[in-house]
Amino acid sequence: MSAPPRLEVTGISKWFVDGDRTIEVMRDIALDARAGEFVTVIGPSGSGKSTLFNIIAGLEDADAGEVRVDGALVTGHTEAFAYMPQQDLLFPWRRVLDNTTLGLEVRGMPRVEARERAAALFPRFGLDGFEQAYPHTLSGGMRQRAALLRTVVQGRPILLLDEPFGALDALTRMEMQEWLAGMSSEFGWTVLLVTHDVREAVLLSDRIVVLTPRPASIAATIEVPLPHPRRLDAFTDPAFVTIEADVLRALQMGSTR
Amino acid sequence: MRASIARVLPALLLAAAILGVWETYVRISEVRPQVLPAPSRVVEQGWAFRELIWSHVVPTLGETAIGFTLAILVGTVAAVGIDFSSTVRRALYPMLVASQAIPVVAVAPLLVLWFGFGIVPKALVVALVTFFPITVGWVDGFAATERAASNLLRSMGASRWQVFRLVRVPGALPSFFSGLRIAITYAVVGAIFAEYVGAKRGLGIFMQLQQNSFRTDLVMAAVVVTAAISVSLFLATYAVERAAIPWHAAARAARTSQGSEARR
Repeated sequence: MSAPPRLEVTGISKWFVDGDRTIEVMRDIALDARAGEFVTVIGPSGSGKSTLFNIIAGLEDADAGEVRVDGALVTGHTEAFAYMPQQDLLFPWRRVLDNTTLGLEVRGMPRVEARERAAALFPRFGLDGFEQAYPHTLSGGMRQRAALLRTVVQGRPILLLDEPFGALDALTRMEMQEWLAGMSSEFGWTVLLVTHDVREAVLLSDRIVVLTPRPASIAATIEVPLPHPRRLDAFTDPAFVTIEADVLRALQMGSTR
Repeated sequence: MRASIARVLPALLLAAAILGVWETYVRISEVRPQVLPAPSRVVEQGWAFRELIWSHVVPTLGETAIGFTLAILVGTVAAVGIDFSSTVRRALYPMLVASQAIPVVAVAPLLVLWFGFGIVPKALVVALVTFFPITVGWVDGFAATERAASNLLRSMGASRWQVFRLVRVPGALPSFFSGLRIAITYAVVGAIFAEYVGAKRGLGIFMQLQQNSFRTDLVMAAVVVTAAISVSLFLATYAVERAAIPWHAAARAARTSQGSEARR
């Protein structure tokens, strides 16, 4: 018998009742990720990707289904996940270093120790020298890296990244995608990413879970067997292009169902 | 420096023009000073009686300080209660709004009747007219916290109290200071009003006494002093704000300059 996957999500359904109608948000979503795997959930906007994420993160309740981490039931619990929301949500009243220690501070780690831990990651996140700066002095890409640092430093088993580059301009976004591809293969993070950017999904993932429009269900699961770390020039690689086309087709078939 | 002079110049010119017209009118028409003293007379007599006026300024400032401190305490406690419990909100909010409908003219004599001629009724009137903007400033500031920010904290395992302390309070501080600024402009006037009803010392009673002896010039001198105190306190809130939340002005300035660049 093999070990259970790091993350195992089964049978997640969500609906809400509006008068005598029941509106389904998602139906029977299942996905898993092995340790060190990068899994992306892609779907049309409004398909409930963020709701699925909030359910996995333990911030919202599902009406059915369960979430397991290393085989243990964690439905509704937040401890196993480090969550990065769409906006960077760096607090303007905290210096960058103190923003990145927030999760450790909440957990009760002494401030000095938390600062040491976070500061050690600053060079690798391209934020060297900006520890004492206020967030408004940072560029969009730097803010996003700081938000990711705040997520990673918590040392949780699974990273949940909800459209982390959605608010960036196209050039910065590509730069950040390549950087994240390098970082995740270097550190071996287990990542679950939500996006609606097909290229981003193919560039970063080991596996892509394609959702249908509402009510969201799984349209296809597509493996990405390209070697890591991938660079932006992979965009023109025939294998890359083929997978990109597969994902697009799955998205389209899902929406014309 | 030159920019700040340019900014206050229109106000100074307008004030000078009004005073000039006033002075000229009084000199030409020879209206009696009991009816309308010239600005020059107000200044001259105010200066001559500066020690007397100052002895009345001190108690008024004391009442203002105590009443305003009380308003900050009560306003903050009320706002925290409202933020934590919807029952408290439903119970308290209508009462707070109703308290603002109480005519101070009616309640001030009652307070004097209940608490005597000492400092207590004055501080209470100041608190009554100033706590509401402070409460609303806090409550609106708390409510403006982004849901996503609370979610982020919850995902880190934060308790409700931690979310409150780490996100809601610092995020609400700019809004609190806006409320504080509105409140402080009522504070001195509230104290003077309460003194009018009954007091031994204070600018309110000073004005009443001078009015009764037809020293209109000294009444006006006291008005000038009152205005100067209010303006100073108003400006002081900016200084306190800048010291307490230095990040706010900087972040706002950065946003505004980005905005104007984008518009260009």
